[in-house]
Amino acid sequence: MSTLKISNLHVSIEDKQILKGVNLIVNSGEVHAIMGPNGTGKSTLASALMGHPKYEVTDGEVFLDDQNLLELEVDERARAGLFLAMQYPAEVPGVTNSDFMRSSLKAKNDGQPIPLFDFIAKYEKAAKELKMREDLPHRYLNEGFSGGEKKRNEILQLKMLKPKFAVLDEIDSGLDIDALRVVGENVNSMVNSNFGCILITHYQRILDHIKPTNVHIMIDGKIVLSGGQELIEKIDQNGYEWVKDELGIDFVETDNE
Amino acid sequence: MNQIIIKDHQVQGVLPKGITFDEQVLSIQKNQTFQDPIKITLKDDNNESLEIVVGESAEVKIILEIASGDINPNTYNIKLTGKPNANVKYLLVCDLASKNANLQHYFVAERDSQLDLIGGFVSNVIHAKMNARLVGQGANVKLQAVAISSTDNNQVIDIEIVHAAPNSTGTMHNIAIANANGRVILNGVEKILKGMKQADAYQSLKGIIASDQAIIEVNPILLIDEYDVKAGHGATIGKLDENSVYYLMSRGLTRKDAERLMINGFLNPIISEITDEPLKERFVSLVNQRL
Repeated sequence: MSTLKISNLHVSIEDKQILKGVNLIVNSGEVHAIMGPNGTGKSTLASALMGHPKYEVTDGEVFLDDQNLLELEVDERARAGLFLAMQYPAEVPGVTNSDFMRSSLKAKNDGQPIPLFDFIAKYEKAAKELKMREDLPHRYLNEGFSGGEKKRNEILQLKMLKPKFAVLDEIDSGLDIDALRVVGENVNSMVNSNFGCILITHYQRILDHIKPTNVHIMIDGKIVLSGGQELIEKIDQNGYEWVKDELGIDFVETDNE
Repeated sequence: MNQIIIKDHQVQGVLPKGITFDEQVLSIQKNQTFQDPIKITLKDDNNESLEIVVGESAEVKIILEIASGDINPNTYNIKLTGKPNANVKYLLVCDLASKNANLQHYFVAERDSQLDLIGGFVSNVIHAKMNARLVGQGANVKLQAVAISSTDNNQVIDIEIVHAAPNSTGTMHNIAIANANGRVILNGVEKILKGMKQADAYQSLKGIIASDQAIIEVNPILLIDEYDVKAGHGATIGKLDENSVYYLMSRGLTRKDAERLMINGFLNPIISEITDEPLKERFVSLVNQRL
């Protein structure tokens, strides 16, 4: 069992403070949903955890078990067991999905290459479970993929790499109802005593497929309320306005995070 | 694969059937089709010249390897002619250690000939010219060059296509990659002479800078002296996309591996056209040594 511990995390982007002290503990086997209106720092949390160079951590700590993630480079964090399913995955022309995936697995495996036939069998099986096109291995990484295909490709990588913790950043946006079900089922099937997950979303739909153990509401760079699934119901019916009133915070919803 | 080694202007061993060599001219007889690539290696270290003539309607894949560890000034003069309706796939690998190499490589495409030419430059200090002249109607030349420079390498590559016949098609796609303090200058020139109606010219030049000290210069030039033609060009120089590097690193690849994968990705369209596996592997490893 592993633990991802985020303490008092402060993050700025271009000198603008976005996260203002986030505290969160996630254990293997748990699914934490982080919800909140646009522009409150949810995606910033995801990017800062992974180590995106644009985001500057000004205070706080993040530990994966006894490893201080903030001291590690992006690739070291990945090899330590963290995975980020990105909201907008990059398109990389010329690099095929299978070359990329094999290189990633090799990196994760301390430089030991995965036998080709082993790899193909696993990759094809995972791609099939996500109902992806058969020519996927030979296509260039995310190039010309539809929004839904990109999201499924993130989950495919997640299934192959089997990290200790995954942060899924708005994995549900841009998915139609069928794709949402496929993605939901696949993520669900991964949750076990060796895998924990942070699910960032501002819709409720995905939570019909992935049942979170914990639900947090994030507003203005902080987690302001934590609870169980009852919070989802409440947001579903009343939006976020009630949080303002109940906690006495004021915020403005913006389009950009 | 058919191997031909030429040393001191002499062919070593026996030539495959359908090929002759006389006075530094290697001739592929007309109507001959070679399934396997013919690999020609120039062993003479200096002042080498060679002419290859591919006969009418012959179909052939040729790999010319110019490799030498000699660091003295080197000069090479090479010419390849495609006779009418010849179909040639050609790969040049230029791997010269010389501190001052000079390569002049001319191509002539006669009527209805198809020349598919790839030049791979992994030399130290070189001025190389690949010049293709389309002299017959319906000639079609596709010219692709890749130059990779790393520490102290300085490669100046001139790629030229001259349309000297109507209804001729010339396409070039060239890629320069510079790492460490390496330098590449890539000049792409496509020329359509007066009266060469319905000529079709396209050129793209791409430069990828993989370090802060690297220098790349690309000069795309179209010289057109006729109205009834089709022509286009594009040139870009850039660093590797940081967002993509981040994406690959977030899956556990080191920065170096991520950059290497991306650069190989740029070259993929060209490398995938090298059908000879051992040569492809060698080319890929030469490229990767410089990354």
